[in-house]
This record gives sequence, structure tokens and C-alpha cells, in this order.
Amino acid sequence: MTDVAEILGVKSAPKPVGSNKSLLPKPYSELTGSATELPTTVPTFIKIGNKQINSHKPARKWTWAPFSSSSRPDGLLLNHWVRANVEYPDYPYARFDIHLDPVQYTIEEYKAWLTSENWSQSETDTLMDYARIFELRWPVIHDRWCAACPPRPVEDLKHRFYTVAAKLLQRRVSHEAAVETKALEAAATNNAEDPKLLLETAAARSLASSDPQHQPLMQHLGTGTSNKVFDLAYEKERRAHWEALWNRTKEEEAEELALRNELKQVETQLRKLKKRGAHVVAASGTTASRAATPIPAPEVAMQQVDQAMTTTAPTPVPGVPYLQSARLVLPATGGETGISKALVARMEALLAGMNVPSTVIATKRACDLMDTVRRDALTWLLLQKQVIQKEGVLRARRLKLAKMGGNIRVVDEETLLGIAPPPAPRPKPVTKGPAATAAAAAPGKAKASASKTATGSKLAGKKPAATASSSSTTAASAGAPTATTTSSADTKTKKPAVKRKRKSEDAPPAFPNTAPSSDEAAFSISTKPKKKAKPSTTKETSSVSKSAAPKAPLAAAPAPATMTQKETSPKKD
Amino acid sequence: MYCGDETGSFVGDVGSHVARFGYGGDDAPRYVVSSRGVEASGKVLSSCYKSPVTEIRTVMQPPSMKDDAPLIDPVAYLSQGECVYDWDAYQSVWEQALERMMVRHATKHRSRPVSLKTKNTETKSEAMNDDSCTLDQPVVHPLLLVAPGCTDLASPSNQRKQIQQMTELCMETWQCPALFVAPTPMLAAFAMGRSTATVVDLGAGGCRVTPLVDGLVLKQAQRRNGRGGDWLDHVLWHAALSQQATLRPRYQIRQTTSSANNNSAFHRWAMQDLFQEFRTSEYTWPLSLTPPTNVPFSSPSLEDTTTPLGYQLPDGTTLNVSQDMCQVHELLFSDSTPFIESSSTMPPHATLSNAPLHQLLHESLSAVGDVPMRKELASQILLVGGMAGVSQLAPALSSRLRWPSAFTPKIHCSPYLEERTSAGWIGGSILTSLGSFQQLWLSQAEYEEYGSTLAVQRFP
Repeated sequence: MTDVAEILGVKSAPKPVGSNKSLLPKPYSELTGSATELPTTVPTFIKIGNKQINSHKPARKWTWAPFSSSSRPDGLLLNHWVRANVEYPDYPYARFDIHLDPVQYTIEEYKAWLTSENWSQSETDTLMDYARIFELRWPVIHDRWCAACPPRPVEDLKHRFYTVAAKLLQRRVSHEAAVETKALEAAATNNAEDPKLLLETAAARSLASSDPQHQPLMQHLGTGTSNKVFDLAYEKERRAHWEALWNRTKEEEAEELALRNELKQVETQLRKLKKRGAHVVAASGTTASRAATPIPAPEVAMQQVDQAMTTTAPTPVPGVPYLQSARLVLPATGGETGISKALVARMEALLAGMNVPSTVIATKRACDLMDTVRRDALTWLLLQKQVIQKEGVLRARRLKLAKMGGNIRVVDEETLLGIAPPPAPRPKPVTKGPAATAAAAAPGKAKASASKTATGSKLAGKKPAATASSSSTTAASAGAPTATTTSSADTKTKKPAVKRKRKSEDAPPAFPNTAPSSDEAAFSISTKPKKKAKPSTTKETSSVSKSAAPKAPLAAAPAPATMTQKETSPKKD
Repeated sequence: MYCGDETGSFVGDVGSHVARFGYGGDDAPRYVVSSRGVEASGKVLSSCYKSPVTEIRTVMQPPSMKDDAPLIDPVAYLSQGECVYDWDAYQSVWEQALERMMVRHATKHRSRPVSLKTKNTETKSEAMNDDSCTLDQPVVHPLLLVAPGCTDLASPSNQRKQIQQMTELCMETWQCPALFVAPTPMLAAFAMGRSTATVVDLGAGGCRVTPLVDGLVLKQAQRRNGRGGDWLDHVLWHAALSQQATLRPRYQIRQTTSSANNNSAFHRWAMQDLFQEFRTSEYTWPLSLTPPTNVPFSSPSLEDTTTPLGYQLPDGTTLNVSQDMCQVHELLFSDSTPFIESSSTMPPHATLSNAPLHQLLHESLSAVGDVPMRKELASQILLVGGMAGVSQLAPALSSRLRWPSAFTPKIHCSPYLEERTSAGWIGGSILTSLGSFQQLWLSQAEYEEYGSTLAVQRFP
């Protein structure tokens, strides 16, 4: 600084004469340079957690001081470290001394309300003691109980404890309410015109007189109990499930896991098939009951096939040699008139499945026959495709319908399509569902058909109850209650139904016209359920089923089980 | 939330093999001594390397210290419960700890620091000068005694007597201001930061499985077998005897006449120590994760075919180490036990068994009456005790526990050996330095009013 002053020509203030310290003897600390004069390396503020601590201030003092806690009745003096000069009103951790209130009763109360066949009073007393000491830690209470008394399961101990507590709470409240009622009534006689008093009296009376079971929920927070009834049966069941889980071996578990995985696979497969509509094919293949669906405009398909066939078939021209074998060429694919390659491939597969030779000796007769067969096959395939399309449209519309009007009962797919079980030898004039005819036909087959309706309803995923009930009504009318039970059982238990379904899906789809007999069967049904399906559709879609449905049970000889089902079915609508 | 509040308590855990002492709030015990060798004068032997002047006494008196031949029946280890047998020896061990830790001389938090250098000279001079006054001075610290925690249901009165004896000792002989007695499994669980757990204590006297709920021991569900460190040592001893007729432990090396006192308890202690040294050496193999094809020591012919390693004993002779000796820890999980017929004595009580460790765990949890609780207990299996340091113990155990997936067992084990072996003591240190614990002490005033019956009621 002095140098700068000289350069700038500023005169600095003259130094005081007496302040020349160099001449004076220095204290020792100045010569060596004590720690206080050195620049400190410790920062002034240190952050520990959220606190800023000034490191230049001296540390606060702590002392090793005696203390006593309010949670100790004996006033034991122990020592601990505390901040010096700070008064603590109480030991800070004394507030953690919290206990549950004991559930207590007098002998009169026990005799009046709490006696039980299974529990003696001494046992109950012991249980209450343990519950208080171990503060409702039931595993521990059970452990100590088994050491002291004849062993009981945990749920019994819990049941006894909570029942006693609930009863005490209920009875005490109603007892007090009764006393209060008396007092209020006495008051009410004096001044009868006070409406508030009257109301209170009525409330107290109702509380006193009514069944303790119907009391509002009251909780005794001090003891951790309420007047709610302990559900022993549920608890027993729950614990039984746990016990079963504990006793399972690893192998059993692996088996279940494998089954579950398989089920999942089957379900995904089903979903895929359903999306493609192939389940219809599969179902028809196995049961040979591809029913008469309302097929609109088959002429379109016929025309298409005709067009396709004629484009490839050579037309005889005079003067040009006409080869019969030229007619054996596959129908044209692609283009406006042609049909899809996939369809041709499917046709070939179909023919191969029926053992139709791919090459024949090209006589006229053979070629004619071949042409017809192919034409029929193509037509059949095209019609099938149309069916699937229509079904899709139907489903979409049904969904729309369900969205628009919730209460309108939607017809089940199976009944609408009229997919019927194997043919009934004795057709009955009564209006029936398909299951009933089967039940009437053969009791052995009844189960299969009933399960089929069940699976069908599950496939549709709409209203399993509705189908079950409808089939049951018809079954009852046919006088075969066995079918009812099986069908309802199948709808209840999912697994067997799914398994059966899987079986049917896994089987390779056989074509209905491979065997002539099955073809005939299919044909014979195809007309019948059409008629049968119609009234049901009209009945159910137009929501007049309430009037129509109860007629059937009245006419039939009613079994008690079926009666209830019938009565429930209209309610559901 | 930090709820600690140190009150300068003194914690002592006297086990069947090792005793540990220290102040509450510390991380590890400061004074660790064997509880096996207590001389008649009250001096506790620190090691078994030097022959004592008089016959020794042991605190717990395990059966392994009694007979003269190696005790190879694990069921026999259960005959004496793990409880204090010799109360004089128990008191001697405590007295020595109180003296070494200078519990009577100064309080822990006295302002005058005692430097390490002057400590020895001071104690000597003080002991010389005012021996009479320091030994009679009351202990000013609250004491936490770690009970073995063996709920031997066959003799519940015995347990009650143990607690009463401890209370009288502390309150009348030492006149401590406050006392608490806690069982080992409870404290071990606290040391691992848990209150609900299944504590697997692998000690010298045997394996013990104790389920705990909210820090309380489920007495009915505790299971114990005799397969502990002592038993393994004896099995090794038996196997070594078939090779060499004379085995000389350390204290006999300088002695010219070796067969002077071969049946004494001290000799047996020394022999066990010898084989414990081998067992904890690098010669033993880690536990295999899959059960081995044959139980070690079961077929004597196989023993000969394996190429032997040499293990040098303290007296210079070499012991041929067979494969079975390397695999000795597999005996914890083996179904049968070697050298004896399977039809040996039956365990005297339902809580005692001879099952291998993994079955012992299953038996224990099956005995828990509250079945949903088993799920939680299975997911909190803690490995503690002197033998918990066996390598690969936790994975080997978990590979053998094939329980249903709803009860997937999970084994917790501290990575530090000290925390495993002295888990009981560490738990006690934690417990006494909790603020909310301070209301639970049994004080001198309460003892004078109600006597030791209150202790039986209060201590878990």
C-alpha cells in the first residue's frame, strides 16, 4: 500500500512514534505465531444434516446427568448425556409407554352374558390376561396358552376374546340405554311437549329394546375391539387354506403350475380361434351338427364359383381339337372373376381329405363328375366364409345393442345360430332348446350336450346363467332333472368345462361331408332348429320373455330345484 | 428416527463356550473370555495352552466335558439343557469381567479419562491398596444379562430358577441399580434389526431354531438338536483316534509324562480346542450346495482310498486328513450321524430332536400355531452363533429348504463374522441404549419390594 502511495504521490499519514513495536520485547506467542493468528482451514459454517453449525463458536456443553422417567413408578435414577442448562419436563421417551386397556368384566356380568359351553370362566380369565399382557399378539398368546392350558387353535382363542368383548360392549350399551330411557321417560311425563326430549327418548328406547346384533358399529379403541361379531367359520376356512398351502410339496406345486400354464395356452388358442371364427368349424367337425344358419343369398356364391370355373374351362370351338383333360385345370385365381388362391388350396385339401384323386382319366363322364365335385366344394367353402362374416356382423350388432339398451336381453349365440346337438329321434311338438332334446333322447348324452351349452355360453362370454336357466326349464318340461343338475354343475365349475372344450378343439377338424351318414345327420337337423330358434329369438329380443317364460314351468311337472331356478331366471332379465 | 439414549449399562453374555462383556452402546464386546476354564480360586483361564494349578470348573457344564471318550452321539448333547450349572463359576467369570473393565472403579463417563498406559499400573496399585473397598463397592451401572434363551419346556421351573438366581446375584451380591435379563434369540434378532424372525443359533452345544414374533420368543416352536461345534470336534477327535493312538494337545507338549491327567475336564477342553482349530482352518471345505452322495465318516473303506493331506498337530506329528474330515460340516445337514447306530436314545422332549438343520427349521415353523405367521417367519431366517462363520452356510441351507412358494425361505446373514458370532451381545448393547427401553429395567427398589418373582414375570 505504501508503494502505491509513493507512486501516486499521496502522502501517507506519519507513523506514530510510540507504536514502533520492533524495539519492544515481543511476547512469545507473537514470535512463534500461535494457532489463533494463523488463517484457519476450517470453514466458518459446517453443514451437518439440515443444520448449519458455526465452527468458530465454542461447542455447546453436555453433561452426564441423572434422570427419572414418568413411566417408571419407582423413580429409578439412571444417568444419560443431556445438554447442559436445559430443563426437561419429563423423560422424552416416556411417551412411548402405551398399553392396551384390558377387557374386564365382573362375575355377575360373566354369569349373565358370557357363559359358554366350551369355555370355563377360569380359561376365559386366563385368555383375557394373556391378551392384556401380550397386547393381542395372537401367535404369542397361542404359544403361551398351549403351555398353560389344553391346546386350542388360534382362531378359537380369537373368537372367544372378540366375542366376549363384543358382547360386553353390546350389552353394556343396551343396558345403559335402558337406564337412560327410564330417566328420559320420567322427564317426558313432566313436560311432554318438548320435541327434543321425545326424540331422545325414542332413540334410547330403540337402542335398548332392539337386538344387539343390529346395533351400529362401535369400536372400543382402548382395547382394540368392537361390537362386530367375529366370523369363526370364515377364519377357520382361511387358516385351513394356509395349512393346505404349507403342507404342499414342491412337486405338487410344479404340477399345478404346469397345469395352469397349459390352461393359459389353451385359452389363448381359443381366443385366437374365436377371432378367426374357426371355432365354428371345429365345433361342426366334432359333433357333426353344423346347423342350419339363416344363410342369405347363396346365389352370390354360386355365381362366383360359376364365373371362376368358366374362365378356365375351354369352350369348344369348331375346327379346333377339344381336349377333355383341359377341363381338369384348376379354376382361375385372382382378378375380378377369379377366386382367392387360399380358397383353391382349401378346396384341394378338402378333396384330398375325401380321397378324391387329383388326376383322373379324362373321359367326359369323369370330367363332368370332377367338375361337379369341385364346384360343390368351392360353394361349400364360400358359404362357410359367409357364415363367419355374418356371425361377426351379428356379434358387433349385439354388442351395440347391449350398449344402447342394457335391459334388453340378448339372445345367446348358440340358440340364435341353432347349433344343435345330435339329432333327436323323437321330435316333440313342445318348444324346446337343444339341450332338452338331447336329454330326452339319451340320458348318457345329456351330460355332454349340457356341457356343450355351458361351454358355448362361456365362449360367448355373455350370459351363462341365462342359458343354464333356459336349458333347465326345457329339461324340466321333458321330465329329465338329471340334465338340469349336470348343466348347472358345469356352469359352476369352470375347469371341467374348459377341459372338455380343449378336447374338442384339439381334435383335428373333420369335415362334415367326409362321411355320408354324418352329412345326412347334419342335414336333418339343419331344418329343425331353425324353426325352434325362431320363437326363442323373437321372444327374447323383444323382451316379452316375462310373459312367455313362466308358462313353461307351470305346464311341466315341477321339481323343487328347478322351480327356484326358473323363478330366478325372469328376475334376471 | 433415532431413539437412542445411552445410559451406561453393562452387558454380559455368558455362553456355553465363550463369555462376552462390554458397555451398552458399543459396536462389539470389549472383553471376550472362554467360559470353560474357571480355576478354584476364581481366576478365569484365558486359554487352554497351559495346565492349570487346580481342577477347572465350567459355567454351563456341557455333557462334552464330562466323560473320558469322545462323545459322538448328538442326542447326548441335549441331556443337559443350555443353562448355568455352576453358579460360582458364573459369578467368577462376571467378577473377572467387572474387574478387567473397571466397572467398579470408575463409571464409564467419568470426566477423568483413564489412559491406556497408566491403566495397568493403576489397577495393580489400586488393587493392592484398596482391594477391599473396590471389591465391595456396588456396581453403579445397570446390568443386562443375556440368558441362554433355551425354553426347555420339559423343565420350565428350571428356567424360572435360573432367572431368580441371576436376579439375586446381581441385586444382592453386586447391588446394581437396575437389571434386565433377555434371551439370546431375541437380542440376536434385534442385532439384525428385526423383531419378527426365525433365529437359527449355531452354537457350541447344538443348533437351536427359535421363532420370534414382535421380539417375543415362541416357546412351543423352539427346536434344538445336539449337532453343534462341540459335537463336530468330537467326531473329528474320534476319527483322529483311529489313526493315532496318542494325541497331545498344546499343554502337554512340554510335559514329559503325558498321561498324567487325561480324564480331566481341562484335557477335554484342550482336545476340543485342538480340533476346533482344525475345523476353522483352511483344511475344511465350504459346504456343498447339493447334498453329497455319502455322509462323511459313514463308510470306512472310502476313507482309505482318498489321497491324504497332512495337517501338522501342535506337537509336530502329522495327521492324515481324509476327505471326510474336510467335509465335516456336511454333518449339519446329513440325515444320519456317523459312528453310531441310528437307534440311539430318543430325545427327551418334543422340542429336542436329532433332525438335521433344514428339517429342524421345518419342524420349528410347523409348530407355530398361527399358520399365516409362518410366511413372515420363513422370509426372515437369521443365521447367528459361533458356527455361523462356516463358509457357504447360508446358500447351502437355502438350497436345502424346499418349501412351498407361498413360504419362500429367505436367509439373512451379516457379512461380518463378529456380528454373527456375538449377535446376542450386540443386540443387548442396542437394546439398553434405546430410549424406550429404560422403563423396563427391574430396579433395586422394585426388587426390594417384590423380590425375584417380579423378575420372572417381567423378563421375557
